[in-house]
Amino acid sequence: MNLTSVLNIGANGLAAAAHGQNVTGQNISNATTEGYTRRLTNLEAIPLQSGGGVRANGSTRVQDQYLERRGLGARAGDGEANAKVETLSVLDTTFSDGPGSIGSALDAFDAAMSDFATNPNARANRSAVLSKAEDLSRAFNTASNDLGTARADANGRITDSVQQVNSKIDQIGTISTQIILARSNGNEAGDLEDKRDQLIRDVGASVPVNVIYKDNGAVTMQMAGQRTLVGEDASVHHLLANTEPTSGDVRIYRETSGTLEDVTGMITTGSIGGTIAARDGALATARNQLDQLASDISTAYNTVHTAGFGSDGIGARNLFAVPPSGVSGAASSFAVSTDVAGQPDFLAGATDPLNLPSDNRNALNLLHVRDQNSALGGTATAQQAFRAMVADAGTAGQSAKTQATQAGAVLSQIDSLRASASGVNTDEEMISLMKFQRAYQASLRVIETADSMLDDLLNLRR
Amino acid sequence: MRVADSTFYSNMKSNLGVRRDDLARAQEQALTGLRVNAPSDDPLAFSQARAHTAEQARAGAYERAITNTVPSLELTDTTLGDVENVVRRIRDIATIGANDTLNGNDRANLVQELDGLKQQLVTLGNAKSGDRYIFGGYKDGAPPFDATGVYGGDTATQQVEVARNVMMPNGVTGDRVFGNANGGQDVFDAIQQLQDALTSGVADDISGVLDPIDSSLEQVRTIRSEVGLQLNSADISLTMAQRNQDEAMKARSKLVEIDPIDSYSELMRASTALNAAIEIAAQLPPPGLVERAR
Repeated sequence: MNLTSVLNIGANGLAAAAHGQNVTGQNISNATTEGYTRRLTNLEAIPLQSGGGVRANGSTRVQDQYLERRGLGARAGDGEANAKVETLSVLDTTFSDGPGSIGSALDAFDAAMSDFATNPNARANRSAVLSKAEDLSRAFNTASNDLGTARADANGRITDSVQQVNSKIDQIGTISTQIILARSNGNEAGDLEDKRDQLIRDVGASVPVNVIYKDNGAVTMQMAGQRTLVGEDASVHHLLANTEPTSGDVRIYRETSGTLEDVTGMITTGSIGGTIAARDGALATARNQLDQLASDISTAYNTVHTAGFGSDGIGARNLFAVPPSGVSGAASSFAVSTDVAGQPDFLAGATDPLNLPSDNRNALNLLHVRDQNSALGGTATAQQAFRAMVADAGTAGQSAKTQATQAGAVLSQIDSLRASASGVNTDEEMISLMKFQRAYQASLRVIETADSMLDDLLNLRR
Repeated sequence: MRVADSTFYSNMKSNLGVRRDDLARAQEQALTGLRVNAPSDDPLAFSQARAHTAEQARAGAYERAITNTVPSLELTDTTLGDVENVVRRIRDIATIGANDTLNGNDRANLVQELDGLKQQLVTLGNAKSGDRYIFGGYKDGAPPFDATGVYGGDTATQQVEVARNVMMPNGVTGDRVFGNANGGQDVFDAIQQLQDALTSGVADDISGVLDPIDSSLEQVRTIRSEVGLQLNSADISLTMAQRNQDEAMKARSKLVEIDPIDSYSELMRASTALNAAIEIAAQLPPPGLVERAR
């Protein structure tokens, strides 16, 4: 033991306090950095027999891995719900009730049919039926077009998200390699780990993932079904969005050793899962129901219309065009039949061609189609079927909105728990600043004292 | 619990967002006057409202059907009144003709007057409402009676739907008024018999044709009261259709519209809440050591 070692200890203390200020400064300046995890200053005492003093041993990231995992789940839930809301928002427009909507077009068509049945001989009434039938066609075409666009948008969003996920998987792989290398060289990789974890959180919002942390700093990131996306050795597996030729919808595959596995069914949450669920759920239901209703309406009216006769005494004409490919696509091809288009006189109001012009019996039959159970497999009228569709679509949209509110609340709760563990609190950091400032001053005092003791010792010789 | 700085800011952000959302919804409701603007706002209310809208349109169509039918029914009624007067005059002529004191010349005059009355009946039988010949049945595009009173119209009456499953006949066919449909009396035949009897000059024969003329009169009267009943029921159906429209409209507004007072107080509440949140947010972050440490 000698006095010079006290000087050393003092110097160590100065260095340690400076290191503490560095870490604190880093925390303060990154208080608002997305994904930054606060650091604790690692100091360790050097045993006196080895010279004593303090060693600044880097810093530790404060992270709760369980909260991280729960955060990933919450992020996936939030992404899923918001994707559903976004994808299903079209239903509110499609099934609105204003002018040009299917509902009001049906009302107007029924009303025109009633006028026609009251006075089939009035050309104005006949023209009105045709023009309202055209309005109804337009309403069906527009709705079908809107739903089709929403479906194409959903597929586009899935493809885009998969591309982004792949680019993030690549980045996670690259960063993981760097982390493993740094750690094996005994270096700190906290900033890289922050960056990687933020990337994982981003992926987690699109695809449900789970993360396993390894001691050497590596991670395994798996999507649902325990399919690895980033391996422990930083190897990566990409996802592939492929448009299926038969359905026209995008499905998702995972590449593994040269083969492709369809993993669409495993992606049930995250924004991609939510978009798929909405596309194949409420959106597909609405499209099918719309086609079915269009087909049912056209069949019901045609059956009655072909049985009657126009003002020209000729019958067997269709009122609506027969859907070219059956039920599928019936809404988009819904149109007034070329048999009667632009020919009000061809409307079959009469049952007997010898009782013209005011035989309205077939017109009444056409009017009564509105009360026939012509839709939903013969269990409901067209109006009832439409209302059921509106209720279904509304319920889907409403539950997506409710889900989004809940998922948002869960996410913000977990985020604040996460922040509670990993986030920077400036009060604490200010205290650290003062603490290290004090420590610095005290260490200076140690050096000063040792110096004066050495002076005293030197003066003794004289 | 440790509260990170970022928690203050993210809470502020999400809470201000929620308040702003609240206010936007309250504003939308106040501006549109609607509580339910889209199916997802309230699926059940929205689809029920749709049913009421459809019902309103339907009742509106019934109202139009009735108001379009009533004028021709009214014309039928007045025309039948005219027909009744003509037939009554024919009966007077028969009574006069049966008087023994008339000479051949007088009778010839009566026969001539009858010709005129017959023409009047043909004209009345070919009465038109708009471009419809009201006594023609389905064949209302052409005069149903020719100059001699032969009926060429249809035997079935047009029916009009005026309420769910309620049909109202749109007038009567000429063969029931003037012809022998359903075992009735052919009015023109009765006139012809009277003219023949007058020409022959046998008083008993003339008394003998009083019966068919009386039957004719009775027939016209019966049909006229039938049309009167139709007009009555049209009136009732019209009231029903109007009431149904009102009720559908009321039921619909109850479902989707917002009470203006509720709407206003909700608007005030949302706006006050947002202002309070802004006031609080403006004071964030809470005072910390940063401000005090030297």
